[in-house]
Amino acid sequence: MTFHRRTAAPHSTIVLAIVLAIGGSTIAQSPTPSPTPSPTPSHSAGSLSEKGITSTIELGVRGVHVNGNDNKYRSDLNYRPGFRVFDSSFLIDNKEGHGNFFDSALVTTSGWGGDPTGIFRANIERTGFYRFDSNIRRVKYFNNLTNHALNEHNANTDHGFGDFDLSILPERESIRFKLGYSFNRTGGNGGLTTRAYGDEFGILSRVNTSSDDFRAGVEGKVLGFNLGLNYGFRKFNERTRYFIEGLNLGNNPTNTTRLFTFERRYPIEGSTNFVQVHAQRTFARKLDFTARLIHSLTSTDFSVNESLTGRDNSNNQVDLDHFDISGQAKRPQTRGDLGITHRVTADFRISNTFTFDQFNISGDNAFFEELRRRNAAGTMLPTVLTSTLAHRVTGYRRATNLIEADYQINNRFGFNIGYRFTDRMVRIDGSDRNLGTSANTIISEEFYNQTHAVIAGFKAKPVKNWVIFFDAEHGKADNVFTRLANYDFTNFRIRTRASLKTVSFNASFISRSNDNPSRSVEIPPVNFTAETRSRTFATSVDWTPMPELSLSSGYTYQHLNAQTDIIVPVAGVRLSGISQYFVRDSHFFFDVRAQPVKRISLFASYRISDDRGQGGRVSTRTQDIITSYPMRFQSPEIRLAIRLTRNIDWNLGYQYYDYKDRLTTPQNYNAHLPYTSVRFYFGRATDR
Amino acid sequence: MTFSNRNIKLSLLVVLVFSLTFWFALGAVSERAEGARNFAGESAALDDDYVGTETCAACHETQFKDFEGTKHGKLHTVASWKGKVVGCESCHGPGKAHVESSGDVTKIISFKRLNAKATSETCLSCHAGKENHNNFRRGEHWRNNIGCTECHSPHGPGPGNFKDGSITFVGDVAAQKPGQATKGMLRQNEPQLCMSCHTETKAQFSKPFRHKVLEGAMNCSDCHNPHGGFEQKQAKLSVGADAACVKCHSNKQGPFVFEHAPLKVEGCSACHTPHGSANPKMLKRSSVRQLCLECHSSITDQFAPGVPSFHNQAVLRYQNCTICHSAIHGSNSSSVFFR
Repeated sequence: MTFHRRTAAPHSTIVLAIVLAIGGSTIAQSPTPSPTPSPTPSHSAGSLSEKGITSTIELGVRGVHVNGNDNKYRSDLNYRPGFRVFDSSFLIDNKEGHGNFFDSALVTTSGWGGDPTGIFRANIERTGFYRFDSNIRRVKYFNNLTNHALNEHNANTDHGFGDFDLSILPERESIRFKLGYSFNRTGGNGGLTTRAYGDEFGILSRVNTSSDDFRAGVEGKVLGFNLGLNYGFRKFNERTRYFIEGLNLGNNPTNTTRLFTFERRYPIEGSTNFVQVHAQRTFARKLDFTARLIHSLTSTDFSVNESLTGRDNSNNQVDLDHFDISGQAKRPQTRGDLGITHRVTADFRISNTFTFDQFNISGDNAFFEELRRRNAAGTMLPTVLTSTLAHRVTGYRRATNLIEADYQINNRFGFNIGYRFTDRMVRIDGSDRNLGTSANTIISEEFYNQTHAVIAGFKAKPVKNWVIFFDAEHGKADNVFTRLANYDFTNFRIRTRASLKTVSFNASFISRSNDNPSRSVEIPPVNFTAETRSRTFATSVDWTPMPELSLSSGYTYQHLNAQTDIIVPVAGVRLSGISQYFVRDSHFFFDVRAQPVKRISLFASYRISDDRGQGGRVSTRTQDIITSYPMRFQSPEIRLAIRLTRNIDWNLGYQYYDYKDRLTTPQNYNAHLPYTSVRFYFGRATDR
Repeated sequence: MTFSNRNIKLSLLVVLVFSLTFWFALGAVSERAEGARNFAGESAALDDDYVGTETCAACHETQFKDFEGTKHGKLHTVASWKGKVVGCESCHGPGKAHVESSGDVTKIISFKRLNAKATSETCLSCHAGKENHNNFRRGEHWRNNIGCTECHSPHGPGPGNFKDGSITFVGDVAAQKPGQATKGMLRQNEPQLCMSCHTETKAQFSKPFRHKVLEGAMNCSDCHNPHGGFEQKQAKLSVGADAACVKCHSNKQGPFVFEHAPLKVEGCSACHTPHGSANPKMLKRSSVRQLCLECHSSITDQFAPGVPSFHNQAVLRYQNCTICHSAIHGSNSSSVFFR
């Protein structure tokens, strides 16, 4: 086994510095006296615990050894070796009154260093004045799989995203203010494909996308109405560059195409402006209404500048194939919602929810291509200039109304029923105009549907510690395009929870049945069916027989059959075939925590997902596609914590991942992840 | 008379400032006019019926100690709550009769005796006006009789203790990070809290490809509003009226000249399994062509056109649709999503 070490990433240092800085500023605060007498004994100033500080930080080193397919390991898990701030938390809770700057501050981090996910959260507030929540996350995304897009759509990128929200006067009913900012940054290396001359070429990319969101809002109560007004602005852009680094022969081995050079710049600038207003009032404790109106406008401007050289599928030398494409698109969207609940009696309510959503996506582009070629003998061919204008409009309008009633017969039983109606229209219009030939193609299609569905459910509580939930939905969904999605559906689920003194039990069964009948536009038309049957059973048990021992275990089984009639082109002929997809997934977990002696605690866990997929089913005809993802993914884990002092634990841990699939080209791996760490406890945390 | 952009913006600014001033003034008036309020009782109670939190604490010391550290327990220090009923009696109603009857439980509002909706009505008497909560009465949880106190602990969650857990999957986070659950006065930290009922999601988030919920990078409430909403599955909107997905996946937001219509019309979950999947890219099918062909089988002309006959599915290249149609989420330059 080899262990790789790396120095700590700058992120973890920054996070640690922030934690320590907040800690320092907190300790520097002097607590103000409570305005009301408190029955809890007052503390003398001085120690951390008296200021309500609870803090831990766990620092350590992880080793990683992977046998088998490292790319699949990184695509699934991506834990890398080296130093980590595994986990930290810092909480100051000034229970006896206000601090100068805040009453409570909570900062937590996890996974900074070489872990694929790093999280930093800070929640700081002073009751009556402000509340600040922030959340910064980083995901190291890796994708390199032989069973997806011929292993040409890869990624090794970092995605950083965060939210910062400040509420001013959050407890004030009459008026409150909200300010917020969010960001997204994705960068790194990627792989994509481009199509040219009847062939496809794997190309490289330097991914660079970002977005920044700003929002401001005011909420409050005016003449009994709770009102809110929010305004938001997003600016997003894409600066990804696509290129090749040398000769590229393409995926088609039977033709002459190749690329010598390829460079694509495709900058996209976009923005969203939105305004949202909402109102709520409960009249005389009987009639509650909520209304919301959102209007947004999203627009993008783009330009494509692409140049390539190579050889085409007629063995002509391509001296230059240059594309200039530019244009813009915009999407104004208006959405209105109204919900009303009438509390007829203390136990009987009728509600109605109405939603209206409408958008129009319109876009134009101007396409220009200049193609300069020589034939195999080196003779210049006439330059080909192509110039087109394209215009598209995607219109959408949807109105949904749900009326429902719920009745509480007694404290042990309540039920609800409802009916949903949806009216929807989707329209696509457009034109493609060739400026060279003046040919103009008009596109226009509209799809209109109305659907109905009923819902029902109940909650029963046969005895004090046992509860049963049931809900069902039957009807039509309003999707137009995707036969994968619901259409004629019947869904129901039943859940139950029971608890005794030291044991709690949870079980659920979820059934989803979807039929999506349709008719092809082939002449003569063909009746098509899509059927999906999904059954999920889940159960879990938690048992804490004594404070020093707790056990948790659970089992989930998903059974899914999907069968869809499809038309499959084979050797130039469109054949009627069948698509089938299967899931037979069993997931089991078992966790145990024990403290056999005061200074030693133990955590052990085992998790396994085992999908048997399609079993022995195989397609015997080319036009039939029968697939699944049979695989087994298991992970035992153990962690031993030894209490060295009141403030310090030493941890030793080991986690093992084993992945096996039963695909044509397996991507199996197993990974050993040993680690050792030291956890420091400060303040009240030492009373653990 | 012509209106320039500058004039329009200036006018809007003036209207906004006046509106806010008016709002603030009216709000202050209505707040003063409202005065002391009765939160839980069906009938208005007299001020004399209230005994004050200190009186409650004399008998219910444990609950009081938990409660006083919560936001509810600190409301008496907030200027805008002066003169209103705060503390125990804001939810449990006036306590005088309860005290005078030496603790008769029938003389006070006890939530142990109320059903989930009745309990929630008490909470909503204050919280219904907030944007996140204002549709709770019509949400999935309400419909299924899941009340506020199923997830929230109005007396404040107990102190966490430091149990060891997994270092990759976030296990019993509430225990590892005390205080985290106090945000929102939750009984447990979020993923564990939600999964205590939605047990099947734990298996979904354990699949090879998943949103990093068990790892702690995401919370259920990043995409769902547990307090209900106008969207199905209590999904959240982002950036105005867009799907929650585009908050992070901003490059899929569009608009594109050539939309892949299901993306905006049906939503991302038409093709993806958002919680997790064994399939790459969290797709609903393990083979991309299967996913595509199930719709693109000549069901309609324009919306989901059939696959042209030269896409010979006996050849590996054509079995990987996104090799050519690489801009499958929408394109500005190609009507068939080539770039």
